[in-house]
Amino acid sequence: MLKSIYINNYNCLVDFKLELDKANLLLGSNGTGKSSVLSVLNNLTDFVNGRNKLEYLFPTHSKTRWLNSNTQSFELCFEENSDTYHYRLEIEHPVFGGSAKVKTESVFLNQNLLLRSKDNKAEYYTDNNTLAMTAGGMSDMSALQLGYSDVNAIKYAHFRTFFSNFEFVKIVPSAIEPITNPSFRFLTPDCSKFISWLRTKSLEKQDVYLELKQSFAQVFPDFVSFGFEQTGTEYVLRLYFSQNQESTPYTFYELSDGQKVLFVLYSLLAHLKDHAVTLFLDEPDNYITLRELQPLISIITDYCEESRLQVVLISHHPEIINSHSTFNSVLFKRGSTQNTQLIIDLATLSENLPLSEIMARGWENE
Amino acid sequence: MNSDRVYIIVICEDVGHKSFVINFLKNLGFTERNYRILDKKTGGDGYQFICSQLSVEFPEYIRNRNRVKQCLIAFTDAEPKKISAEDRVKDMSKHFERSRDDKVLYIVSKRCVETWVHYLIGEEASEDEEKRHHTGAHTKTKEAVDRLNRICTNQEPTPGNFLPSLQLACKEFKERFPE
Repeated sequence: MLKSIYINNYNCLVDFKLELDKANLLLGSNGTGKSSVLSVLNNLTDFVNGRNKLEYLFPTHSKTRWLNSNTQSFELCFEENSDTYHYRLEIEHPVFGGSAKVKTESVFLNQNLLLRSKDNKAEYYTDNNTLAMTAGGMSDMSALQLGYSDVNAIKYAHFRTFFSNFEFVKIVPSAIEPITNPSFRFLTPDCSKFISWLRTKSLEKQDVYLELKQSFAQVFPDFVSFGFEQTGTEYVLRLYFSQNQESTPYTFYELSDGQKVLFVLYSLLAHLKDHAVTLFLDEPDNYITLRELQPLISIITDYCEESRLQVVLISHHPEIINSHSTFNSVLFKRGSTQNTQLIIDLATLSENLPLSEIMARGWENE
Repeated sequence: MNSDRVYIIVICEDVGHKSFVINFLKNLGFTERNYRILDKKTGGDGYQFICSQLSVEFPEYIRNRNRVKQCLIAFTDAEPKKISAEDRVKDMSKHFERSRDDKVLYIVSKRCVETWVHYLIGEEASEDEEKRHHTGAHTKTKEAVDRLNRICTNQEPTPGNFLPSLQLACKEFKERFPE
């Protein structure tokens, strides 16, 4: 589980630390840095997995404008069983021209070093804290991209999987393609490849189907079932609804935006709940009717409590804001220093009035 | 003044009060971002609504008065022949007791706010008349609040025949509305 995030010198995040629990809710006005936190995690994931170049993920303009420093720092703390892993990355931006470089990158397990990359040279350590190997050429890539096989380096190999356990989701219902694409088996943040991901997951874990079918029967009136229908080499998602006592097939295109979002959210939660996944949901309440929100909040918090799933939710919806006590909730605000600050004890803000009302008045920033 | 947050909370009992108070605040230079109107959207007793909202908002005002710059306005009608505007202000002051410095205003029109509008634009109006609704009064609200602002901010002398409930409202404004 991702336990904490530290960010320094990125957009409005200066010496910023966020502690996380299983079910988390990030609140705050526009421009207070909530999405910047998700953006850092998304970019770190792409950096560690070698999906993009450092200079594109952390361009010079991502530095804090009012901070006179060329070094950006990021730290993630993961907890698993009794082990605590610390990942740290420092990026050095050039003063004039050129591209950003890795200043240092390190991984600690408890107090023991597993990886240290500095001055273009990476050192890899076994679980017993002995040097296993060294490598060069790491100035603009993550040393974590390099795996090595050693019976005594299980913890390092295990840590490398952590960044594969982040799922970033900001659902764009109109972008969701209704037909599978064999090139995409992973989620994209806009969920455009969701149908392909769902087909892959459905094949891996068929018992989730019945659970989902039951959920959808409660969410969608007259819902009967869903399934994939082969068309050529690809598959189309079909949803069946009862009409005049007959089961009538519908394509995903025919659902409303709200129905699409609900279908995606319930599918994501059901398939990810048994995995040690951190699901970042950026404003999932868009498009959803009021009566669907409380059931959704209950499912998210129940799954987080009962399973290995961790959820980080960003929302501006009053119904979710007023459920802040159900989550580990933090409120982002920008004070006079412009840096993002966090309010953790939200109960003090909303003694008589609901928190959404306090936020509607802008009084949380006082 | 920070233009990006709410300074004034207004509790009012019908759409006439709402229209009047919005125009009044805009005339003073406030924007939609600076006030929040809590109006009765369903049926039921207007004064009961005002009191139930005050029971939430007044303690919140007290709790935040040293932290947040704010003003609370309760805007309601009296009950002609039963309760005067003055008694209604006293009643609210008794249940929601304000200190001298609190920016909490109790504004009460004797019969209905439309009577104020008619009076302020120079038409014949009496707070003792039984007739409650005055067709077309809302369209004249802007003109009415403009005059009321001038009177309340001493740009125009208080008329000799000033309606007693308006006089009371002006007094509340002068004594308690934040500068």
